[in-house]
Amino acid sequence: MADVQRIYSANRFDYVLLDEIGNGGSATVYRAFYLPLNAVVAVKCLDLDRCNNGSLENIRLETQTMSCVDHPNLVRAYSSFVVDRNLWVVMPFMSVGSCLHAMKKAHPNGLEEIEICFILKETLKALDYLHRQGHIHRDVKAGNILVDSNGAVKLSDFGVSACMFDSGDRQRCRNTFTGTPCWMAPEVMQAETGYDSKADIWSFGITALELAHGHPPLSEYPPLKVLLMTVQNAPPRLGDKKFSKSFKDMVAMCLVKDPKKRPNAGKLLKHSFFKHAKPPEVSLKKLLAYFRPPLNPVKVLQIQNSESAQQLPSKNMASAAEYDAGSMREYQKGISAWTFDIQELKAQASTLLLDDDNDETWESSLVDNYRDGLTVMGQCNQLFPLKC
Amino acid sequence: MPEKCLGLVAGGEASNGGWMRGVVGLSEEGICISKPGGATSRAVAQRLRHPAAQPDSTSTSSALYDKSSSTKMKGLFKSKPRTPVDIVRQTRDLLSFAARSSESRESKREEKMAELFKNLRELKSILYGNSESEPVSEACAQLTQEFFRENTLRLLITCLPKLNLEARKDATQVVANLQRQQVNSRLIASDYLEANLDLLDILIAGYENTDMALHYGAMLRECIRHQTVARYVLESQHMKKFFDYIQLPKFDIAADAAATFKELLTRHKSTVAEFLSKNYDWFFEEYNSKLLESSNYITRRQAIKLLGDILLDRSNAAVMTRYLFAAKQNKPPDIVSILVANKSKLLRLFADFKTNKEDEQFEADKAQVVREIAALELRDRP
Repeated sequence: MADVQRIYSANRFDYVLLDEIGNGGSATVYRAFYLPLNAVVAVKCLDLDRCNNGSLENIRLETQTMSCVDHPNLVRAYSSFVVDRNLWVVMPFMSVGSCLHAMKKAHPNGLEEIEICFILKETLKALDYLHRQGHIHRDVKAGNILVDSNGAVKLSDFGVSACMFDSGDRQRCRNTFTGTPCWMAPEVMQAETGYDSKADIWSFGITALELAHGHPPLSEYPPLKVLLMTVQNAPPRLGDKKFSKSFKDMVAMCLVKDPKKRPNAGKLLKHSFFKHAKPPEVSLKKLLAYFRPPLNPVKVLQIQNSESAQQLPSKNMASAAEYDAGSMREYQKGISAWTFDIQELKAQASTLLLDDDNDETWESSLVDNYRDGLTVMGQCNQLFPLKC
Repeated sequence: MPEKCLGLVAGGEASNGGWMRGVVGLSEEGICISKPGGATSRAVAQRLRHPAAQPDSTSTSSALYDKSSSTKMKGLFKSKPRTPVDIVRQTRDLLSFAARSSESRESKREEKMAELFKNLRELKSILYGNSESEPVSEACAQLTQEFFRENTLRLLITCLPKLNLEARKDATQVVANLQRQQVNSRLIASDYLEANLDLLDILIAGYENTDMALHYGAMLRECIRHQTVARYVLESQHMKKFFDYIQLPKFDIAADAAATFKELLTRHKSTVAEFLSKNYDWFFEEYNSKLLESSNYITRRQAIKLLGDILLDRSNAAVMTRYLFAAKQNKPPDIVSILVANKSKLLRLFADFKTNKEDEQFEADKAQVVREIAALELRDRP
């Protein structure tokens, strides 16, 4: 951690925020320019006024985790510091954006097997590293897998990750109900039984299906139904004829309801499916070509290093970025991002079991619970000439 | 790891060093030990009974014969498995080597450092278990005893800057866990630290070193779980430095210092009360001027929250009385809002609160403060 932490300063005037590339809840992500290195980075600006004291503690843990990871497939925090009432976290800029974003833009019905194989293998390396350190990611999904213009793949968003070894005790398992329902393992939903790193393996399997189809299974259902169906139904499968047997077999290994019967990340990496992974310039050729030219000229917002420019760029940038971010938010609202109060959900579940058609109740609570979901969405990978 | 255990079990149950009988296997994460009939051997037995349960037999068999795992297995069968005591001793030797060898030249330095990193990971694995097995308390106790029998902790702390990032993280987790290990129902880590309090000086100074701050900081927070250690830190000159550490520009480090500061001022009630009454003047002067009036938003916010926690703690009632009394002329708005928000709780607390000795001045102060708080309440009403 020594190197990058010394390279990137904690001085806000060394960073020039360019355009907004992602937005969710209390945080906004900007593409930014780091003057001392002439380098493009991503800066996540977190509005601390919108965080209570409990979440401040989580923000500390997340930032510390992010600055102590050293793995090519994990998004690392280069620096973090307070600017007015915001926390700025400096991260690598991933120009293609998330796999979710890439699918929405270019492949609404899912990626090709060669692309999926590479992306999943890189993601699995990240999980293997995290799990060996005692971490559970708890929010593995296409929206948290970022890709840059060289085809580097990084898992991001440690916002809900938990450390099994927190404060010296091995905790047998976690029993906090967190994550995103479509990707959530059955044992996570049955919060009282507890769960461990194998929960990430389930989410990884669901992510494989998401990449194959453009959406995760059950995404058309309301969250409460997703919960019940995940617990009650047989695990989803990859059935399509166009995919190889080893891909189907790998997905099936992840999506076993009994967590003990799922392989750990290290073991899964040895699966024959991943032996066929090609380097990114081959496997992601089409995808990267699609994202190479700027989609639309993005209006670059320059902030002068003056006292008057203390606040963040205004939101009314009439740009493609804004439009995409908007549609992405709608998409996320639709299927992915909430946290729940498990007790409340259980209470709701009991009423739902009595009256199966009563689908309105959860919908309002869903909006209330709309999580600070945050997806980094890159717009273009061109370096804009800057006059600073 | 199951594939390697498979080999072991097929070859016969390993008996190791006499300290226990059980299954010892090498996982990718290090040594794993499970008692006979424990989770791992059960899982292995199940696998043996149901080979079909192994969904991808090709990858297993290829893994069995791939070069690295077969070397590991060969090594395992050749040499006697190392006990936790062996691993601690070897770690200590390697740390001594790392401590005296300078940057380069000495032959085999790289090899030895790699060996050291591997040992640290194994120690962590024994203490925490891994994804396939639970820690074994007997092994943990032996490890702990051997660790504190000599100066392993001192070596580990002083050599930490020479380790790579992963080894530093492993070492930090090992040190954190050892603080809670009991041997014959004693926390021997506490005894060791009490006799080596200067180690705390190194840990605290870590906040001044960007590379070491988070590791030393995490160790420090675990060490001050012991009351004598916390008292040492509270009464040391280091306490003053925390007011600067909390405001360091790097958020992750500043927040870590703040977490340690909070722990120091809230964990051991009687020690904290004693510290605050003895060091009242300088402490609150620093607190008010540096933290409550900091230009850093997070610092201010955390300072207000912590001040509330400190003052509202029953054991600090005398300190609170003094604080409010001193602050009554010119109460900062933040303090007023804490008081207003907690007025009923405060009044209840004061009603119950009695000092052991008869103290007329204290009683008078108390009555004054109660009136003050009641007045706040009145003023607060529309």
